[in-house]
Amino acid sequence: MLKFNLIVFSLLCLLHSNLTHSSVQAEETGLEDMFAIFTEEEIVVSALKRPRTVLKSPAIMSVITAKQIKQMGFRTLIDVLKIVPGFYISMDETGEREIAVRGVLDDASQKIKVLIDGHSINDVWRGGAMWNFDDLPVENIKRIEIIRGPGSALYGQNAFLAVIDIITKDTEDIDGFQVTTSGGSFSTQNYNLLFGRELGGLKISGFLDYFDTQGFSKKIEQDVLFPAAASRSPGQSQNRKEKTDLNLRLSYNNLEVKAKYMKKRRKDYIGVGDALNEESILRDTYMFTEFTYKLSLSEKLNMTPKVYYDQYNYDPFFEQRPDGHLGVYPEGIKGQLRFKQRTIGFENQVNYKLFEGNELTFGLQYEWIHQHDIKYGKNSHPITNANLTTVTDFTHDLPFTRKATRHIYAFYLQDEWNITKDIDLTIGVRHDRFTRFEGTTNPRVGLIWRFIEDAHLKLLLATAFKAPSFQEMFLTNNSVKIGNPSLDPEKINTFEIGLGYHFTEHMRASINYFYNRIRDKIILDTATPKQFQNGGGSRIHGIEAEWKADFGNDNYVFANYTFQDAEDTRDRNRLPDVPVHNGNIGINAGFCKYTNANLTTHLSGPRPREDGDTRRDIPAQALVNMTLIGKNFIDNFEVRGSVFNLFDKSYYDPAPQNTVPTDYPQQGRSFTIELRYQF
Amino acid sequence: MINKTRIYLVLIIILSALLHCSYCAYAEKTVVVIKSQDISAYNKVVKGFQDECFKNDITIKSIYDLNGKMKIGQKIVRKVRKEKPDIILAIGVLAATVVKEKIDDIPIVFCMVINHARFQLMESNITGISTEIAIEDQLKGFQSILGAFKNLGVIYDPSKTGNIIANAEKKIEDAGINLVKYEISDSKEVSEAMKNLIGKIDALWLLPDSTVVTKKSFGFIKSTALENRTPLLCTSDVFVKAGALASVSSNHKDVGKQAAGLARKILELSMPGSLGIVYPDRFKLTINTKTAEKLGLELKEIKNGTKINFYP
Repeated sequence: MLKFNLIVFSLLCLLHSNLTHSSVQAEETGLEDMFAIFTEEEIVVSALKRPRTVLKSPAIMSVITAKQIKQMGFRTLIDVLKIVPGFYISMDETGEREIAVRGVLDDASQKIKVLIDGHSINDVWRGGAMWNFDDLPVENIKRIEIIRGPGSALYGQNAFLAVIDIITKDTEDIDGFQVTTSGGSFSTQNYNLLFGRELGGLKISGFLDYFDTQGFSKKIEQDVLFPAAASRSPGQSQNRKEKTDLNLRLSYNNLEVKAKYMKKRRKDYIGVGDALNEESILRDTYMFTEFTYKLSLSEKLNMTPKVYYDQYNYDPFFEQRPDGHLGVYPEGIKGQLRFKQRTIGFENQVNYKLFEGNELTFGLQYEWIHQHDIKYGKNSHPITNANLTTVTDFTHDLPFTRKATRHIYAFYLQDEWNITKDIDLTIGVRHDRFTRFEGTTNPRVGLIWRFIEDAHLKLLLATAFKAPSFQEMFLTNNSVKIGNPSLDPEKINTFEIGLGYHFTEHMRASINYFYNRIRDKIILDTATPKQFQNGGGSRIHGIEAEWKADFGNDNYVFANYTFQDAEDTRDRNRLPDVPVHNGNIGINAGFCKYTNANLTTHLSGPRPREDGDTRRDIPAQALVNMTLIGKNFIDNFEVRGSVFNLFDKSYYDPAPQNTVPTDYPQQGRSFTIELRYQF
Repeated sequence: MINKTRIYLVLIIILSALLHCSYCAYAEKTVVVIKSQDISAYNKVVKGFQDECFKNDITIKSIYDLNGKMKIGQKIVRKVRKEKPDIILAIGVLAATVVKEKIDDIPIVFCMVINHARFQLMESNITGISTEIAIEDQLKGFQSILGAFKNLGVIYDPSKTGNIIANAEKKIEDAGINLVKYEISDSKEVSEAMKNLIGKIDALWLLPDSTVVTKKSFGFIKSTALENRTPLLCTSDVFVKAGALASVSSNHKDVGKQAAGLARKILELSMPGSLGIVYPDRFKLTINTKTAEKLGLELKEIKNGTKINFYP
C-alpha cells in the first residue's frame, strides 16, 4: 500500500512539475500575451462588422452622422435631407414637405422608402412617409444612410428612387440621460428626453419628444377662389403644429424589441383644394412595434426572423371651402374623414457565408395590410356637391374609401462576392406578389472596382417598382378624383456609374451619372371626376458630384452639385417643379474645444412650370443657414443657436397652375436656441 | 493699531498663492491611460509611460482596464470625459478602437496595435506608434546573423497581414532578397504551407498573423523549421524566447517612454492634433543562442548597429 501511495505521489509531482513548467514557460516567453493580443484583434474585427461603408456599398450612397446633424443645426429629418445630392425639398398646399429625387417630384414622396432601424414607415394610404415623418426629431439619430437609386431588389415596394434608413442611438451611444430643450421663432418650443441604460443583460434606450409651434404664417394674396366674395384671400396661411414622439428599444441577449408612437395635430397651410381655411385640423397617429431575434446557427449561418405590427390612424377635419362659398354653401364645405390601417408582417432573413468573401442573403416576407374603421361625414353631397344643412354621415352610403386588405408575399436572394481584393460583385433579385396585381420581379447588379489605390468605380443596374397606394386604388365617392382598383405598379429601370477618389488623406470627391426610365406612371386622367390611371413615363438623366475637404478637429468644407434633366417620354416636356441645377456648400469650423460654427448654403436654379402654365419659372435662390455651438463651458452642458434663411430671402414653393398664382410663400429668417444637458 | 505692512504682506502672500495656483492649474497637463487588458506586455508599457510622464510633468489621472471587453468601453469613455484629460493613451487594439469610435475632440496616442493599418486608426486627433519595425532595419538585423541570404519565405493570411506584405515586398526585393509567399486563409493550412516552403527558402519570416501563429501551429512551425535547419525570423522577441532564432522588435517599456514623448510633443502644439503613425524609435535584435547553436550558426562575429539581446 505504501508503495502504491509513493507511486501515485511521484506521478502527481511529475504531472504538477510538468504543468508548472509549461505555464511558467508560457509566462516567461510572453507567448500567452501574444495570443491574448490576437484574441483582442478578433473581438475588434467582429465588433466592427457593420453596414458597408459608402465606398464598399453597391449603391450610390450618402451617410449623414449625428455629429454633422448637430453641427449644421438640423432639427428634423427633412432639414437633413436638404443637403443630400439629388434631393430637393418643397412644400405643398397642406404644409407637407415633399422630396423630389433625381428630378422627380411626386405626391407624398411615395417613391422613397423610409426605414427606422430597418422598419418601413411608409403609410399605405399615400405610399410615402413624409406626411407623418417629415418632422421626425433628429435627437436620437445616430446616422442616416441614404441610397440614391432604386432598392426594390432588397426592400420591395416604394424603394423606387431612394431608400432612407434612419439608424437610431442605442445604449452604446447614450448610457444615461440627455435633456434637450429649445425654443425660437413662431413661439416654437421643443422638449426632448433621450435615455439609454444597461441593466444586466437588458438594454433599454429611447426618447420622448414634445414639439409645439405656431408655425410661420404668410400673406396669401390670392387663393384658388379669388376674387370670389367668399374667398378668404388676401389672408394668412397657417402652420400651427403640436406633436408627441416616443421611441423605445429593448434588447435582451438575442431578442430585440423596437416600438414607436407618434401623434400629431396640425393646421392646413393653405388648405385642401388651395382655398384658405380657418378650421381644418389634420390629426395623425402612427405606431409600430417589432420583435427581432438574432440566431447564430453556426459561424457561417445566421438567421434573423422578425414579426411586426404597425397601426396608422388618420382622422382629419377639412374645411374645403369657406362659409358662403358660391352663395350656395352658407356654412362652407366641410368634412370629417377617418380610417385605420393595420399591418402585420413577418420576415426571416438568412445570411450564409458560402466561402471567405462570399455571403449569400436569402429572405422571405409576408405582410397583411388592412384598412378599416372608415368614417365619413360631410355637409355637402360627396358626388353631386349639393348643399346639406348639417354634416351628414355618409360612412355607409357613400364612404370616401372602402375596407380593403392587401397581402404581400415576397422572397429575395442576394449574393455579395468579394471576387478579388479590388473587385466586389453584388447580384440580387426580389419577387413580390400582391393581392391585386401579378407579381413583380426586380433584379440588381452592382460592381465595385477599386482600380487604383484610393479610387473606386461603381457600375450599377437595377429595376424597382412602386405599388399603387390605397388612395390611388380605393378613393371613391369624390367629385374631384377617384381611385382605380385595377392599377398596376409603376416601374423603373436604372443605370448608374460612379467614380470616387480620395485625393489626399483630407480630401475626397465623387461623381456619378444616372439614367432612369420610368414606365406605367400612375397619373390622373382628364375625365370628370379624374381617375388614377397607368400611363406614360419619364426619362431622367443627370450628374451628381460631391467634394469634401476635412482638415481635422471639425474643420471641413463641403460642396455638392446636381444636374438633372427630366422629361416625359410621351411629349418630351420637362418634368415640373424641380430645378435642373441645385447644390449645397458648407463650411464648419471647430475653433476650439469650446465653440463650433457652421455655415451652409442651399443653392437652386430656376424651377420650371408644368406644360401649359404661363407663369414664369420659380426663380433661382440661395438660402444660408448658420449654427453656433458652445460646449465644454460647464460639464455635460451644451448650447446651440441657429439662424435659418440668414439673409431673410423671400422665396416660394410651386403651386399647381390655376390654384395659388403667386405660389406657396416660405418662411423668412427664423432662429432657435437649444440647451442640452447630459447626466 | 493695524500694521499696514503686515496687511500688505498678507495680501501679497495670498495673491502670490492665487497666482501660483492658477499657474499650476493652467500648466498641469493630464493624461488618462486605457489598456485593453491586464497583461504583462501592456503593464510594461504603462510603467515606461509613467516614468517618462513623471520626468515631463505630465500627470496620469487614471489608468483604466477594459478587461478584454469592448462592451465596457462606453462606460469608461464617460468616466474619461468627466476627467477632461489633455491626452489619452490607448494600449492595445481594443482600447484604441473604443477611443477612436467615441472620442474625436481629445488627442489620442495609441500603441501595441499589431498591424494598425488593418484597423484604420487614422483620425485627425490620433497619433500612434507602430509595432512593426521598418523592414530595412529588420533585414539588416537578420543579415547580421545569417549573412546574405537569397530566399525568404513567409506564410500569411491576406485578410490579416496582406498589407504588411504589400508594403514590404518592394523593399525586400531592393535588398536583393526573393520573397517566397504562401497565402493561407485557415490555420489548418499551415502544415501544407510549411511543406511547400521548406527546401525553397533560406529563412522563414514569421509575421504576427493570428491565422498563421496559433497555440497549436507555433510549435509545429518551430520544430519543422529547426528540423530542416531553416532559421525562423520574427517581429517579436516572445517567439525568440519560445524557440525562434531571432527577432527585431521594440521593448515594451521603451514604447511607453516613446508614447510619453509623443504626448509631450502633442501638448506643446498650439492646436493639439495628430503627429501621424511613427515607428518605434528604439529597437533591438534578440537572438536565441540555443537555437543558433542547433542551426550551427556562429554568433561571435555579429556586427550590428542595434542593441543585441541574447536569450537565454
